[in-house]
Amino acid sequence: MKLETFTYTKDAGWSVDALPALDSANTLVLVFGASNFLDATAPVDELIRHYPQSQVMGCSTAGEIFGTQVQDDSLSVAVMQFERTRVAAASTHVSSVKDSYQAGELIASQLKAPDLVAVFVLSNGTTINGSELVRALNDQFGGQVVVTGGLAGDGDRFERTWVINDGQVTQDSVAAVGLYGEHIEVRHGSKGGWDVFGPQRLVTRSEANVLYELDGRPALDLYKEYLGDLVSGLPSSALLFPLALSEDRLAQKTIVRTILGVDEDAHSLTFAGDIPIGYYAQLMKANFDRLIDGASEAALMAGASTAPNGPILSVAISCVGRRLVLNERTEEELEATLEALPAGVHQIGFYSYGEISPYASGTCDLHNQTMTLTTLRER
Amino acid sequence: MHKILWRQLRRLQLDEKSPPKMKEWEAFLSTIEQAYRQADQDRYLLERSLAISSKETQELYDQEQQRIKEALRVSEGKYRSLFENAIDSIFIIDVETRRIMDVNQVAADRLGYTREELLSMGIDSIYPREELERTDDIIHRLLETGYLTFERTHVRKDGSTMLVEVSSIIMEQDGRRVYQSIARDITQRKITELELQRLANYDSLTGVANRALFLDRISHAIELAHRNQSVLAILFLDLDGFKAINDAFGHEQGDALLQLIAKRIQSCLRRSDTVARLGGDEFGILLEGIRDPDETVGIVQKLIDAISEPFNFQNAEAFITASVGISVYPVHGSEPETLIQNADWAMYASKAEGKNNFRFYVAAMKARALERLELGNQLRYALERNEISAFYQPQVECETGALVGVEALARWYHPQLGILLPDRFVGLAEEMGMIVTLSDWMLKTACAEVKRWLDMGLPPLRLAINLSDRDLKQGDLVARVKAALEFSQLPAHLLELELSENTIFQDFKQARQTLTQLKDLGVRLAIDDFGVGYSTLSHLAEFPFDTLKIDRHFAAQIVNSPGHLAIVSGIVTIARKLGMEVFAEGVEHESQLELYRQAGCHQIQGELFSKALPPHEMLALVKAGAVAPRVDFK
Repeated sequence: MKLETFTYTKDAGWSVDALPALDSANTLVLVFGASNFLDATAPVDELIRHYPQSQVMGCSTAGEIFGTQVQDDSLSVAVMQFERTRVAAASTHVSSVKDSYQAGELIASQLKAPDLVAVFVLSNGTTINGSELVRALNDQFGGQVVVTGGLAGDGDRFERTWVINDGQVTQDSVAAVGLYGEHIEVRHGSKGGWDVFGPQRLVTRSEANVLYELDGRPALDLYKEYLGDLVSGLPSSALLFPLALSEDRLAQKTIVRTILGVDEDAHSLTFAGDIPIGYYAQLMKANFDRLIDGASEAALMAGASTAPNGPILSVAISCVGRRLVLNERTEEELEATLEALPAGVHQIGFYSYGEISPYASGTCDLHNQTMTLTTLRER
Repeated sequence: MHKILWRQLRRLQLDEKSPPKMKEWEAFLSTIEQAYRQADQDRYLLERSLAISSKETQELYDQEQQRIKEALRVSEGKYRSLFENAIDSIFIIDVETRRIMDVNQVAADRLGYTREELLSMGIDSIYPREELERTDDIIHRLLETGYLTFERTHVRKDGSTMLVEVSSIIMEQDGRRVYQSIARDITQRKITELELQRLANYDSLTGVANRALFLDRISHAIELAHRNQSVLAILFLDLDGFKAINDAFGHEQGDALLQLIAKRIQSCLRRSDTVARLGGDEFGILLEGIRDPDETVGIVQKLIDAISEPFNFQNAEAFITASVGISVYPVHGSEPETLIQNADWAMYASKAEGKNNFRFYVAAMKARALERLELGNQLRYALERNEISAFYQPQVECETGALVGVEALARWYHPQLGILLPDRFVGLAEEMGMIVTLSDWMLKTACAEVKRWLDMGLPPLRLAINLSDRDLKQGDLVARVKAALEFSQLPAHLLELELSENTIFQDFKQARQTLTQLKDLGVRLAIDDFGVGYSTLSHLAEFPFDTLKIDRHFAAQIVNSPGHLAIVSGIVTIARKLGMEVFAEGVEHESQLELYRQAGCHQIQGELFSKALPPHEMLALVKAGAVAPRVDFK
């Protein structure tokens, strides 16, 4: 495998003199960029043109990760030319949130093959129900294929995102790439690092991923009370308090849900995944040290099984909520992941509206507020 | 250097060793301000979150406390309500001191104390003195299991007692170990249980044991007798003719009589003996500790005599007798049912042999009784299978030996037993209520036969037919005789109906009326078996008899007994004076014939001339016009 990573900024242009000449049918190009490239697609188009035979995948972000740094208004790019690994892409438009499950089915059916090892999926971050998308992928692959990825971001604005669909920068797509054969090694790790606090509250009114009431009280009012002066920063300030969901009061397994938007008129909050009625919700708050430790643990989980004898790419997808909380300390978690990974690993990635990775059980889930790492290398 | 400061310098590409230029300085300050702001904001959010969630948690805690308090209050109220409104007595008792810690009003009311009094007492105060030790045992077991149900006696303040069923449970109260006892007064229930037991074991009419208890008592007696190598007797007592009393007086009076009889039976026995009612008019008696059979005989005779004493009943005297069968353990069986059954067979035999008597069981009784039962079943179908036939025995003139009549006698051609004589089945037919049918058949058949002979131009013969007391009692006898005469067209004066003296004198009034009506039909009437029954000579004058038949018993006696001969002479003289013909039965020897002739008898019947013959043989005899002369008539 040959691997090159580089960046693009408006002021400095490409960080390399020339785009690496690694175009082939076995080449995968990953590109993560600011949402305002929607208005100026030229650099993205240039990449797509330069790698005509390759599979070019990418999406918008709430911050582009390159090495240990996080940037805005840039492109982070990785070009991988595999020697013995087949690469195939699939994509579809999702015109309505209701079509989320169907989109997952369609993509999975396009990629399915006996030697399919891993799927990396990128979805638009606004017109999608991530939980449904992931459910469809699980139903299709039955836990036999490693599925990782994330939902595209739009800074802290939650307005418009983009995904590359068949060479086009689009707002409403889901795209995925399949990696085939015995030579590709895909590992993954995912960790949070948030603490629950305050009482458990019963979800008394919700519809899919829209939460209306907790314990019979408007959920938005609760958030406003906790945010105090920061209420003006809604919806992004609500990211400071993700929700831990559990099926009953004593359940060990909890799912973390991040807020995607608020509706002042309906007093509701929209989350990145479902909030079922009858579940118990508990507010979470950041603990800086734990967030950074979490990133480090995710990296250890995704690290190579044996000493590497070739290049490794680490794709870091971290939650926008973490960036908001960590703020000036954001890069500490990127340093932590690289420190925990073998020396010489290339890292790119993005701050997202949702992370996708499997549990230990093998079935995949949509996470929020985690650092999710996917490492790729060829044996 | 702080990590954040180091990263900020790096991002602005500043050197920590040399101060930045003005433009970079502004950017640097901006990032530092940003960091400070973030720190402030973090602290603000943290403090606010802490304050709000603390408040929320406190509220939840307060709510929960309130809820628990309320729940406790409700629960306490419910308990108090149950405690006070329970229909049972409830006590809370300290395990160590056994003092009554709490008690409800029901308990106080039941025991006749005030609550205050009970609360100053120990629980042992309400137990009988002799049961105090049980409390130790009960508390010991209660502490082991935590729960216990038992029965105890409670003593009221006035010293009276009640039986209670207690459920106790160990509890904690104010840090002390106590037990709660719920006591239910079961005195009434016990009485009911005893009453139920009585109902289950005793005959409701007479108050003596029922069959179930009788069997149980016999079982126990057998066990005891087996151990002591002793003997016991089972008596099966059946009243003779009780059905007639029931029919005559009605069931209610019948029941009243049964009660008197049960009392009389009991009065003849020892307390240790058991009397049981086994059926309508059947009683079972168990005699224990019997030393020899004579002792049993003594008791049984006493019983039979006592029952035959008149009962003052319905302002009149009622008479009844009993037949008793006896079986003895271990000779006649070792199972209660067998012993009762065998006593029953013996009773049956006693009845068959004349009633108002007793019999010990012997094995043959059962066989005989069973045979009789079997025969009875077969008799039911004998008529329709044409197994019954009429035979005819000639009756001859004493002086001339001329054939003057025939007596029709029933014969049963039994498919297995051959020809059976009436003494084998007429009694059975009476018991089975078939005698009337049988008599009717005989009447019609014999009348028709004799008329046939008449129609053949043969000299007229008189036809004698026996009637039973049942025939006489059945109201339509006159109509039945009339029907037979009409059916056969036999002249009425040729038919002679024979009735035994016992039959007639049982119901004097009705008998006379019926006989008069029969006489009006033109038939002849004969009094049968005369001389052995209860009738008095004076009765003879009151009935319209044409013929008097001297009982066959005299035929055997007159030869050797001058007394009997004298009686026969007297009877003949009186009968002749009353205008009756005199007839001697059972004549087998010439000497008998001679004596009867000398006494003045008109006619004779017996084997000396001919036994009873089937119709065709009798016809031959009739055609011959006379009995084969085995004797010389003068």
